[in-house]
Amino acid sequence: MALPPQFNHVFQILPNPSLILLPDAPKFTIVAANQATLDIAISLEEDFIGKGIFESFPENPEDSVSNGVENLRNSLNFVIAKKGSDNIPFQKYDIPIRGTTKFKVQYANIQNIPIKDDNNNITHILHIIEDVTDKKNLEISFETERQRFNDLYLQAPSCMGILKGPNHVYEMANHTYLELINKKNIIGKSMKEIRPETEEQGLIEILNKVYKTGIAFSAHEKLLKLDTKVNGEIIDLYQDILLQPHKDINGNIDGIYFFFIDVTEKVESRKKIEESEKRYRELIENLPVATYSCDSEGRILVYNKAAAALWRRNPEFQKDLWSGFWKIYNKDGNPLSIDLCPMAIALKEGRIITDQEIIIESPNGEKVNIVPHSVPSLDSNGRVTGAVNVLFDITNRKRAEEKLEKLNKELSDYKYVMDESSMVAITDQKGIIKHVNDNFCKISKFSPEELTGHDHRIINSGYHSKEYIKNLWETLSRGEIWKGEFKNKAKDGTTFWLDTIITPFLDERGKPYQYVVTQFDITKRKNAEGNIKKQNEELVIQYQEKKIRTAELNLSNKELVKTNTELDHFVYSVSHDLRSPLTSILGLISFIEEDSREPDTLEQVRMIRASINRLDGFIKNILSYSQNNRTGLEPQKIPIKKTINEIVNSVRNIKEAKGISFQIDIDEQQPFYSDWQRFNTILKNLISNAIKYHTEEVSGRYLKLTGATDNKELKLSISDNGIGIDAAYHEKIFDMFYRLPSTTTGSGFGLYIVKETLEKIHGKIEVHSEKGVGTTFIITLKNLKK
Amino acid sequence: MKEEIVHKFESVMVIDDNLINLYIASRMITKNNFGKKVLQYSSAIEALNYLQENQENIPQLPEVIFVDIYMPGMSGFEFMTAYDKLSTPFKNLCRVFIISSSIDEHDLNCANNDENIVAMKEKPITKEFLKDYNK
Repeated sequence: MALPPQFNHVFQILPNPSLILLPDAPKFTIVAANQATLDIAISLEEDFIGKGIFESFPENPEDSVSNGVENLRNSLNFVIAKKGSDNIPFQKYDIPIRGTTKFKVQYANIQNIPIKDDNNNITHILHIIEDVTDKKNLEISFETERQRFNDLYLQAPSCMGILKGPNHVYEMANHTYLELINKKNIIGKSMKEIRPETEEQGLIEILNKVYKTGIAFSAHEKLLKLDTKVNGEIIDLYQDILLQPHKDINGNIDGIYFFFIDVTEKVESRKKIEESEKRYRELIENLPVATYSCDSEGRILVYNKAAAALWRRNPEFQKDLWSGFWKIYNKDGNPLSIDLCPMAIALKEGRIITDQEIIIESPNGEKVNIVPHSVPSLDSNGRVTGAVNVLFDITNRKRAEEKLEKLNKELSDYKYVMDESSMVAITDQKGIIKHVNDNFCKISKFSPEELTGHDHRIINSGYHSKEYIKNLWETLSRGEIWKGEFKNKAKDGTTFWLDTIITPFLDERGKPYQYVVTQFDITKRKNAEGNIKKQNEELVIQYQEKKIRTAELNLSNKELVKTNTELDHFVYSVSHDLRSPLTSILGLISFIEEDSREPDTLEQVRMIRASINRLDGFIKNILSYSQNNRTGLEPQKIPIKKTINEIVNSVRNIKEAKGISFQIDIDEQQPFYSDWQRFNTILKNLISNAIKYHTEEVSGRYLKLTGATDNKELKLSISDNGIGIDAAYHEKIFDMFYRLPSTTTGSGFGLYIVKETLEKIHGKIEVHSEKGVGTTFIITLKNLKK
Repeated sequence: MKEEIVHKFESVMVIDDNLINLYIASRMITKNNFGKKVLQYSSAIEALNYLQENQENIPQLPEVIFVDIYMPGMSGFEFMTAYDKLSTPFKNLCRVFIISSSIDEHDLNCANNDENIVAMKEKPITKEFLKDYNK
């Protein structure tokens, strides 16, 4: 039965693949197939017409689940039975690929619509297939994505979720987040409600901002304080945060995605590293030993005070090089190039350099002995990243060593001296010999082997009393040094005397643990002592005799001193008393000279006067000699010019002085001190001599007095052009009572007194004279200024 | 026409235990017109008595005194100690010289330290000294 033509046309242009079936169950013969059906089955209409539907579209043998054929059959049967339409929604019904045994997956909504005649009998069934395969595929992939998202979302180690609306109501939140905040049943509740603390912490504000502006917010290691245990105990958590605005289809913000990644552990572990680095720095900084670290380029990163002290400056971090402060020398004092220094090698070769002594010199030239300990630090690839250097200043140790060496040398020198000069033995506390030196063996005539290990008594002579030995041991056991003499016996039986010093060496309890015995051979002296004793006795007798004699001498000496004094006194008194009548005679003579007119008498009186004058001069000389000896030195300031003038004036008028010109030139630069009386005596004598020994035969007679003073002395010369003195007598004129030949006047006493007096006042005199020419006396007097 | 003799001093006293010296000095003084009147004393004690008795009577007193040091009874310096107690007008008027046959340093010091003593002179007093000395 064919379809009416109008119907057929509509049927043909149906967009869905459709078939018209006869209701001849169970075959359901296909009477028409539209173009869409032919398209999807890639077939011609003849392929289907006359064939049953299940013949044309069999079951896919590989799909045992979908039951497409059975469901379709039930639906068709249902249509016939109910005389109504039936739908099979979303049925998997695979289509055989023409010419192969394979099938093409197809999902379809299947509609079976009965077509009835006027008697309500079903004539045909319209079978429409709506291909929903694409939709199905979409759904499947959606489901897969959804599953994946769920996996990610639920199992992600980071917190995530969605907040909806301006009040930030939880729409979604994953498990990790719930665990983090330790809350349940939060969906549908606002952030503020669930976590009231976030308002205070500023999170709500940030959320508001994101919500309002649509600009995402992210922060690293943000500190969140969370009441995770819901007991008020807030703990610190560090989070990386991303807040991403969520927009609806129209682009309006309707919520916020949130992602929190907990980085607390990371931050804390970093903090721990920082802490430990800080401690490491502090450790270095507080080390009393100079220590610094640098990077692989040698730039200083850390250094301590001791290092700065060594460098004499504070280097600039990460800029100054470790090698920038010193001149470096090796142990022997030769300059060391920088790249050969321990630190340079440690940096270059990445190995620890230690125990290599160097000398460093600071800018001001101070040298320090150093042992560096250079330790490189390596990264995981074994590359050098830097190094730490610890510098041990061994200057003091070095000095101590040198001092010790010197002391040792001194000690060995002492030992040498001891060994050379004396016998040395060392015994233990019981007197057993542990060591003897060569001298000991030489004198005792034992070999070292024969002595070592034996009691010191091996050389005992038995000479000394038990008490003597007992005293020795008592002294030593008190820890005191024993000194004394010992008579010992040599191996050959001869005896010898030793001056002995035994020094106990004490342990920490003050008990002797060994004795050092030093001895000097005094045998010769001892033997000599016997003789000396005898001689001593003789000497004592002689001494006593001498003593008596000395006493006697002392006595006579005293007497002599007394006699001398008496004599001086006597001489003075006699002279004084002798002079007294002479002055009387002179006085009386002057009367006669005036009164008498008798020429003979006057001549005789003149002769008397001359004799008296001579005698008076002699007595005066004796007086001044005696005075010079009797009186002490009385230095006083002397007006030299004045004194000389007075003397000259007192002699100027005497007869012999007539015709003599006096030239006085005294330069008193410095005040001159001496004994005035004696100074006077000396000058009087010299001046009167100069006058006395002039001769009238010479014209232009003169007497020159020239002198000058300074701080030390007075130099005075007295010159005349008188008769002069032959050089042969220059030596003799100062002798007592020496008179030049062919002179009539003079006592031979004057110059002697001059010399004696000069000696008293630390003066000296020299004479320059030539017979017939004149005489110059030069006196030099010490300035006795205190 | 008789020459008018002018004396340097009206009255001069000489004290010396040695009579010869006393004579020589007195004669020297008068001969050289040094003093018109010479008061001669061989004892310092007597001389002092005279001065004490006449100390208010200026015309009776000497204008110059020469006194020896070593004399029995009272030495020249003992005399000077007593002299110091005499009246000031007299002392202002009178000049005292110590004379001695030898100059001992100790004596010289004593003389220099006594402000009443003008100088110490060695015996004998010379013509030259008497002539040259002016008031």
